[in-house]
Amino acid sequence: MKVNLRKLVRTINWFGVIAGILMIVLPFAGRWWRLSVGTGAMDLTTSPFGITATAFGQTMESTFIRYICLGATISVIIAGLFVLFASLLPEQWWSTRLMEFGATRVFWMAIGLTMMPLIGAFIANNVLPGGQTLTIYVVGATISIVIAVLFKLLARKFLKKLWSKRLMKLATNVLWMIAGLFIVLAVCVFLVGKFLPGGVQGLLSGAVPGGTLNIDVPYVSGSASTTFSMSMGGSQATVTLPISMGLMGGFALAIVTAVFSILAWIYHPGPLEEKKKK
Amino acid sequence: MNKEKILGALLFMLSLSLAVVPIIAAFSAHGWDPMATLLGDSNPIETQFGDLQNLNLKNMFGNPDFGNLANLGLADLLSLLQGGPINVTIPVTSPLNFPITVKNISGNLVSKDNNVTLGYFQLVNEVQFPAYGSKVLTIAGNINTAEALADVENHKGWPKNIDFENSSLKLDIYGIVIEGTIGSM
Repeated sequence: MKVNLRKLVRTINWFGVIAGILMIVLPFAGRWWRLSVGTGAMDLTTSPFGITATAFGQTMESTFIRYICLGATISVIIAGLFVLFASLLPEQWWSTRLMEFGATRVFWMAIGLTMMPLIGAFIANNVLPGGQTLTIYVVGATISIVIAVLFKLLARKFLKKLWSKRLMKLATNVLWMIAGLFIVLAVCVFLVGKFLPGGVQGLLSGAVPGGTLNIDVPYVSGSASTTFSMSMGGSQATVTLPISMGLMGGFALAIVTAVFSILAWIYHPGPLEEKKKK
Repeated sequence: MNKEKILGALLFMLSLSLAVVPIIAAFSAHGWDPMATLLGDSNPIETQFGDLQNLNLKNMFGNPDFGNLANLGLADLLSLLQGGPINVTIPVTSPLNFPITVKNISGNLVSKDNNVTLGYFQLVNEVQFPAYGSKVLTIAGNINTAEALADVENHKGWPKNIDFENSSLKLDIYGIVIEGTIGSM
């Protein structure tokens, strides 16, 4: 009995046990990111599992968003259960498949939620004003794709250990994501260049004489102000929108969960066929 | 190997279902109406700003009270000539469905013909209006006595063509600051 218990403790993937429990708890741990315009003009708190939005004191709701978030909640809970079962019984034939299903889910959710305000702010601050060239984004996408392909070839040729292959696969997928983001930015720059030659400023000057727009949006976390002003004759009007953003407590738990689940995936034993080959 | 392939296929179907089923459920909950599904029933802009379509400025302002100017005694007149403030209180009713703060009203009183600044006015304290609320704005006016008297002496008469200049209004709506300045009215 003692020997069996000792063997059991040694075979359990403890990273996965912790990750599985955290994944089940994570949807109920609070929001990850907030955005405020003014003081109550618009308030938004969000996570993959729910969004709360108010504008001018009125709550905004979308059935579509609510159901998508419900789907994400169920998905992460199921993934957490799979990671937990796979970690408790790592030598079963189904354990690797279940681990692969669930292990990187929270990691990609955290990456996604960080990238969206980052890219959104970048587009607002740098792309919409116009004057950007496609070159840097095309070069960035190309470099990312080349490195991703190189990583894949090198992993296939040189990496033997399962954990190193998995780590390289994760790094390669991140590079594919970066390449995709560069392509999205290149498309935005192209569209702004084609349909808004003078950027948003040019569009505004045409519509509102003497109008100027100074866009300043913080990146993921911080405070800034966007101002719109117009002048005519000796008169002038200015509208100042203070914008603040920040990461919330739920995001810290998401990072911890992602770290443990990645460690669980890397550490998890491979399929039985691979073990037999060894 | 067969078991693993079946498990792989089932897990793929599960992933697909978790992505697709919520979308189908959301649209079917609103009878496949895309606008209602995506945007819901609430429209805060319409709710909060819809009343502005029927805005009647006349109903916003009550009768101004010129305070100490209405019953001006000698002491008050001397105070006025020494640059003391004239306080005007204006009852205002907000036509808006949300709170608004009047942070500042200010401007200069000028004689346009003689290009002389006769005085200036300013809101005494910022005033917070609740939704549809009524409050009193107190505006203090001061006369630049020396310039005004010099103008009277130089031009042998009262200042003519008196106008407001550099009038500014500053509002705060939920932290969004709106400032306007009019060169001359």
